[in-house]
Amino acid sequence: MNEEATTRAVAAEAGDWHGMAGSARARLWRWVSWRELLWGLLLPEKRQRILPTIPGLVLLVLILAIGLAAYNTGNNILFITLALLLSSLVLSGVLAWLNFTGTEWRLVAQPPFRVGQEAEVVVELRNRKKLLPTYALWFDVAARTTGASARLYLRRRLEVGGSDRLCWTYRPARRGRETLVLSGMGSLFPFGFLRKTMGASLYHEVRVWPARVACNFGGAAVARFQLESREVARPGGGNDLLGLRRYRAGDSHRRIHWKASARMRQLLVRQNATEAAETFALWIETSETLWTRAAQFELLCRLAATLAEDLFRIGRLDSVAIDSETPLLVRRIRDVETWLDRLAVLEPGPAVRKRAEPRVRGALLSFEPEGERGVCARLGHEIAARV
Amino acid sequence: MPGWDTRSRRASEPALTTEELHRVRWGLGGLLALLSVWSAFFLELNGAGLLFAISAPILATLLRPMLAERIPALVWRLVFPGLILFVAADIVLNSEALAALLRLNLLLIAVRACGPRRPREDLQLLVLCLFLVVISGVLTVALGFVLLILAFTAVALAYLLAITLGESCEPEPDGSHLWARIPWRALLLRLRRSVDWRIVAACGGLYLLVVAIASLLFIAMPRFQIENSLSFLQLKSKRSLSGFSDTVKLGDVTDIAQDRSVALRAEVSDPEHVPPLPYWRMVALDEYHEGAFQVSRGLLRHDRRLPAVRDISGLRSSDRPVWTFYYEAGVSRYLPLPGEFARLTLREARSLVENRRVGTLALREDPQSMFAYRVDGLVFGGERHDPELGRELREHIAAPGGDNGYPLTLLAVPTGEKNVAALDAILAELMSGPRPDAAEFARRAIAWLERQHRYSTRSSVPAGAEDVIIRWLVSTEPGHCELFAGGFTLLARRAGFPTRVVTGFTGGTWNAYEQYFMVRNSDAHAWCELFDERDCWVRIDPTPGSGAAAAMDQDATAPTGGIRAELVERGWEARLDALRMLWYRRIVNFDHGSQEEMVDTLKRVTQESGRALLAKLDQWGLRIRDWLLAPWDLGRMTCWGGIVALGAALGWGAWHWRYWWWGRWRRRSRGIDPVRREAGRWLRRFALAELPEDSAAVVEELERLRYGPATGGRYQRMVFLRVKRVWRRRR
Repeated sequence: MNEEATTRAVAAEAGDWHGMAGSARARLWRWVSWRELLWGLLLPEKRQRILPTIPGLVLLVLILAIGLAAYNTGNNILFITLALLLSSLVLSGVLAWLNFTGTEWRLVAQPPFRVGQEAEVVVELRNRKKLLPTYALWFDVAARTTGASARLYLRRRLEVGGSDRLCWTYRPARRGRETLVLSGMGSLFPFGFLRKTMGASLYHEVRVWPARVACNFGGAAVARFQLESREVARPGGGNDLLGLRRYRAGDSHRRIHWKASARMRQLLVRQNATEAAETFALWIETSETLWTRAAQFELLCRLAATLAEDLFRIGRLDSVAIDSETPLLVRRIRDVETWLDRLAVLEPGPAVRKRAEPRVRGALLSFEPEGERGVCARLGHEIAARV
Repeated sequence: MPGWDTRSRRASEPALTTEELHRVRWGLGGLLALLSVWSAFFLELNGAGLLFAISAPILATLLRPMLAERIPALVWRLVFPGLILFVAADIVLNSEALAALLRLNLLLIAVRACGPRRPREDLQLLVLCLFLVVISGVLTVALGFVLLILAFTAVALAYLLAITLGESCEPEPDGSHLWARIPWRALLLRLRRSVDWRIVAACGGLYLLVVAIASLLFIAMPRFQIENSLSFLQLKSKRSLSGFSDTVKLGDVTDIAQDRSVALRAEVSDPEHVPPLPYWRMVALDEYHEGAFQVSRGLLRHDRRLPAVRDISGLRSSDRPVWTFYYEAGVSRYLPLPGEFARLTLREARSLVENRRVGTLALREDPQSMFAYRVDGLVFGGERHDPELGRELREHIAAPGGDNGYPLTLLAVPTGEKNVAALDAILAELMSGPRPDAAEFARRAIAWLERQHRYSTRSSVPAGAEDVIIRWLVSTEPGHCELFAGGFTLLARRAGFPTRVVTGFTGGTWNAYEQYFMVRNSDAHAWCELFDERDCWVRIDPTPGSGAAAAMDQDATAPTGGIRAELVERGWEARLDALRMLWYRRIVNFDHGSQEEMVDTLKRVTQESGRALLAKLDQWGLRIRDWLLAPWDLGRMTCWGGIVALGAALGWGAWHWRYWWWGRWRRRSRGIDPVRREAGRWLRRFALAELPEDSAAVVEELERLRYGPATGGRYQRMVFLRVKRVWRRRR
């Protein structure tokens, strides 16, 4: 279930930064061949464009007109004016380059992404220049699957050594894989003559979880199960020591058992027990013979996600499983997120006549279509929830 | 954001808010408008009042933007139809399209500068201002244009920057106009606090870069000579001075002489050929009528109209010396031509009127800006050959009943018994004895005039019925140059010598800074030309104190020994005028020839420098060779060996302890350990690169250098050596 690394926290390392600061410095310290140098002078890098704006067109027309008049009349005053206009264009290019230089950016997607819920996509900027601030940039971000896009403007100046965040509030419309793209950046700085754009090509793939659905989990079967179930000791947040286990990244340092760790020469953490009632396990069959309607399958995913979150919140979720895969034990929030990530990309699978139920602890909740549109969750033969 | 300081290092200097930025933009727009409106002062658009009337509201709205909001919307709706009516009436009444267009431009600038502006209107204002500044510069070629265009460029670039930054800020709510309420003083203080002086210095440096690039482009842009090029539109605001026109009344030339402004600048290829007292001849007037000399119709028939020419050939064959004249606008359409020449070349093709009988050359229209031309082989002769005049006079005299036109106008005197009697009475004294020739007559007449009258710019002529000049002749009143010239002319004509009056300039001063002649309007003068009854016109200057009463004996082609010391001018006026001359010479008149000259000069200087350097190297080489070949004894070898060994030891020591020396020097100057700084630099580089797997120890050592206690130089050297090895092995 965890074969693919999920892209939850998608930006943490400094290596994710892009821009003319890092690349320029890196370029300084590596050998550049003559061929690369010459091509670099002749051809711009890919997706770099410079186009005149309307004031820029006016300027070009002016330059043309003054140039023609200068050559036609031989008047040196017009030549002076022409020279000043051309050198202003050169200055515009130099300042634009200086503005881009030393600026770095990265695309950060703040999870979770859920259908119908607003999520924040952030472009983080920083200015590594030593003298000049950065002004008037914009970034084009888009969600490839849904086609939503936005242009984020840097409205304040980015001070020397400073940083800023440009936020885009994005509401996913569909479950599944979504590619967030920072497709380019641009600027009209300094004089608004030329629109300079650079292709950024930063991609982040995120998984859009299914939306929650209103369901009534309960009924006679659930009530009976709760009556008949017993208390068990399970790993949790209680005070009783359940056992020791190896240290995993993310564990609190306070739970390290130093004596045992010194004895065993490896970090061990205490695992406390909590008494909990009998738990549930969720099992989804994705056979396409069972789920013939796409809308029902969507509803299935939503119901499974809702139930998983709700049961985990009350500490009653033991494991989750899809088809004949090994059940995923749910102990922490990250396990729930892993389950939601699986649901995000779940599709109807190949038709199977009959699958064996997985061997799980606790009561098994399975899902099946109900009628033409509904989905229900069964606990044994009885319905525990339906939508 | 992990790994990065989210606080800006300059958080204490707040950036300008959107409203402040709008206010800055408004201010720069107003400043730009004022600069361009003031440039129109050069143009003399028939109304300083119009310029003041336009500057006042611009200045008022610049200082108090709230005033612009008080203008009712109806006014803005009516302003454009009003402008259309205004320009139509202007063209109809003044019949000069260019002046009307410029006035319209001024009004549009005022409308844009005083009215509410969005970025589109800002750009319109910029284009209008640029148009006005450029047109002013082109039409007037004034030196002040340089300062104006540089200031304009700086303000325009700042304005565009403010517009771009304003557009990238948060848009202000419609109708708020909070920016208009910010006081200027508060804004300037905010600007001072929020702008780093280093950024200002960088902007200044970039601006100088713009000027430098513009200068290089100006020099390097190829110049082509287009034969049928259009001359620029002329604004007919400047008229010739009346003393240098076809009709000169008594007193016109003297009026010009009250003005000390420079009318003409002349540079010469060889100062040895500058005469002691140059006469800059312009207009020759043959007909006299009631106190005014004019060019007769008969003489005007000899005018030859030359449409759009650049070169005119003269009568001389030698093309040395070469004179270049820079003639100010508003003097005359007649070009100063002191004597005969081989070739005259204009900067651009112009329509001319040439009259070879009297040796004058004029433009078809009054020049509206500085006008330059070059004359090759010019000589400052006091004589002009006219072989046909004698024959023509004889023919006209022999044909009774013919018209009294040219060349008989050269002998015409005022009619009337009293006039003739007065002249005859004077001539009785002058012509006593055998009839003198022209030269002798001239000497006697000049002597008589000097005895009778003294020179004064203020003169009064007694009242009477006779002709004004004759009345003056018979009196003993002082007179100006026109009276002396006119008086001599009438006397000579009555004596039977054809004579004409010539106006122009005489003298001038030599500008020691840029090596050229400055001829002022105060040098305006009138003299005569007397026909010597053979084939020659001779210059006669009857005005007392002119120093060149008769120039018949001067050889025009012989060198004169250069500029006389008393003519050299070195004061502040000369310095300022030299600046203007530099402007004309190096910028306004910069052409293909100048580019070639510059390239040749550069080439010559480079070659000479190269040759000098090679000669120096050769010299050093010879010295070293001689030193080496000199006999080597033990003492000499020991001495030099010791010096070399000491030098090598010092060099090795300096290299070996370079970090220690460097650290010591830097600590003294700044107190920061350069080794820690260097280690920090390496750590930053390592952070961005992919290092080999075994580099962790090296990174640890770098961190120890950076953050740990101070270490010895040997340890530092070893660490940096290892660092460099790791760096070379990186992926």
